[in-house]
Amino acid sequence: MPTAIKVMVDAAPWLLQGAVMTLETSLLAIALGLPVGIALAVAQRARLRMLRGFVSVYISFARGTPLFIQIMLVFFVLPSLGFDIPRFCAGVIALSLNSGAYIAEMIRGGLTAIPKGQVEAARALSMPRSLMWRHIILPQVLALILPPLTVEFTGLLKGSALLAVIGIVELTRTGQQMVAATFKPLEIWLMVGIFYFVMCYALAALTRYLERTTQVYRAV
Amino acid sequence: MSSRLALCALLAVVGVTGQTAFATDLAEIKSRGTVVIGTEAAYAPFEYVEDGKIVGYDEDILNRIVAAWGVKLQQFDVPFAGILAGLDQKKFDFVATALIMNPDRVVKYAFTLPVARGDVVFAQLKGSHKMKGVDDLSGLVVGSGVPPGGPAVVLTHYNDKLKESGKGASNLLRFPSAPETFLALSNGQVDCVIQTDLVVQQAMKKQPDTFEIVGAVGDPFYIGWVARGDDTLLRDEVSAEIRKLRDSGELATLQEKWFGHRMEIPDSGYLPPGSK
Amino acid sequence: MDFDFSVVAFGFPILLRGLVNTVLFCTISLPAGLVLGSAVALLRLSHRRVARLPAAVFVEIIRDTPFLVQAFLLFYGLPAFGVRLSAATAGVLVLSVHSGAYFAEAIRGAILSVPKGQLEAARALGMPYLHAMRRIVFPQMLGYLLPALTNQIIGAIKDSAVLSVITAPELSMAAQMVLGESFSPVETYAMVATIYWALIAAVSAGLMRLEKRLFRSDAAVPRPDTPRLALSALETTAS
Repeated sequence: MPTAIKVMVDAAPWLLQGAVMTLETSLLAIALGLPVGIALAVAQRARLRMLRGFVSVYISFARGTPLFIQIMLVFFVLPSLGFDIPRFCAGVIALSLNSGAYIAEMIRGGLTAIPKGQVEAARALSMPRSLMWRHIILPQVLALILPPLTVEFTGLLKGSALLAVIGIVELTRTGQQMVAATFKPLEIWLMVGIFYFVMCYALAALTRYLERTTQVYRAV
Repeated sequence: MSSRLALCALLAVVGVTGQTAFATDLAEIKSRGTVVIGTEAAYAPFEYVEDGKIVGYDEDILNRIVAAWGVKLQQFDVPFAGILAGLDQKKFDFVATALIMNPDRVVKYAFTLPVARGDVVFAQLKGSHKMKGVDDLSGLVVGSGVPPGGPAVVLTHYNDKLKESGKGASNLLRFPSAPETFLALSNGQVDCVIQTDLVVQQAMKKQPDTFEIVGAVGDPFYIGWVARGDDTLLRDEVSAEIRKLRDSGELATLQEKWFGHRMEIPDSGYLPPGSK
Repeated sequence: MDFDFSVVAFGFPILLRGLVNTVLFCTISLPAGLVLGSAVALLRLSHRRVARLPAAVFVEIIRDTPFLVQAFLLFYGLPAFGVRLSAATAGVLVLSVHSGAYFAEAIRGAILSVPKGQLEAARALGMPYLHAMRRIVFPQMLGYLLPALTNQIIGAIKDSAVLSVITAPELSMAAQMVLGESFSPVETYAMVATIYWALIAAVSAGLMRLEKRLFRSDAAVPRPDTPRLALSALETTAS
């Protein structure tokens, strides 16, 4: 038993480096995924039928195919279209694009909770649509969808593990490296699990705090 | 309807991917000043990570080659699922990771001069008598890595052959990497494992007195690095460096350091016919 | 471009066999997860802290750790305690527990969506708690539950790919085998993406048909017209 603890403690500093990479990629992906999701949600209600169709196909693809494949698509396929992106960016972009699709669906559901009267009142006051979205609709919707957003964010933290396949050494890949070097899979993976738990729990707690402080925005 | 559209989109995107790779060679690398390498740094003692750095037998060789060329090294650790795709898509100049020269691979990729030679062996728990000999797998649960790992592919073909005479294994379990196969062996979840003898040695070093080798399967094989199939010029240049290390005796010194014994590296005849 | 169709000819049957196993895993684990999730949800709604706390801790731990680590520890770790499970058993077990934790949250949200008065009235009439839950709350909650559940089920289907790590011969393990023999990543991953997409599209469509049937005008299940409650629908599992 003590040797197991020693293995875990020795691994900790290196796993921490991997965890930092995980945090960097996931937090960036969260920051980018939100605008992507909002843009998609707005586009879903566009008047242009082709735009609505594109968004629908995109969301179906992002939710229906494994994230692993989407990451490989962004890193390996986009260059053929002329964008040669460094792997870190490709990874963050893939995560954001995936996350954006899920967030768009959450926003779509949240929008049904905004009483139509608010939109009508804004229109009656000749408020430009962008202002209406920015000041009336979005704050309420985002506050409303905080619970499912928590799940999506922790999902991103865990999903960033897949970025290893394009050469980003994050927490899970660091764990694999250590397993190969020490031949002690159980201890290493237990430590990896603990690291993920700490990160996800912190993120979930932060979102729950946000939930409480935005109570005033909730229409229901 | 949107699913069908999306399916077409996927296929169109896939259609865009295959580009004809223009060959890289040493001159281009030297003019660039950096060589970009892909390695799967999770295969001790060939390449693994210690104290945050990639170390191992392949790494020592690579460092000497890079020094001889006078370029900088940019190395990426990529798991197997992505390393060949990365090579194909020209994310690396070549892949410096231990790869067994099996018939399926040699027709697609250009292998360098071998850096090591080993046997595929069966191993079991010391003192266990479950596996009597390598020619009979009946009633046994055999563990291996996942294809395209060399021993994993060997196991598939070998087991198919044994099945014809009724001596096939009762189950084949594919584990994500070598340490898991040995953990499963210790746990009793498999009766024996099939691995490169050099890796079994590593496991025996980490867990002394636990495992024993039952015997070897097939002919000894060679391990080398790969470049894209078209990059035969680059491959020859890398092979030339490896040959220099072998002839100067440095390769043998490294082999002693990492494997505890020396290996015969031939000049030719190590690749099956039809190879690149 | 040269898309090698011989890889498709060679690999597709192997992938289909993996798909069968994936479907088998899901058909056993998902209902088990639902049962577990219902139990955990009820525990979390209990008045007694001694029931609420362990359930909450369970859900938090399962949701905040990667499925990979859970599967790994269960399969490779249990033998140290003398319990040796086959890959299939361990896979079903860990997938049930993992999806159960996510289902628990969806079910809890759905139960909370049913107006409190229903349960209170039932109890006032002398109905035992579980009886009231089963006969009064549960049928009404189904309407709120289905959209949320669809997302969770899709997530669980994609999560089942992790079981390849514990040697389960499902779709993503089959993909690795095909990749290993053919060395053609583009063709292999294109096939894999298509198969997952088709499977998930089929499951979504099936669940949507189920939703429509439940909301037939003469059905006993109410449509979730209260918008807030459709939100619990949007909780997703990872990737």
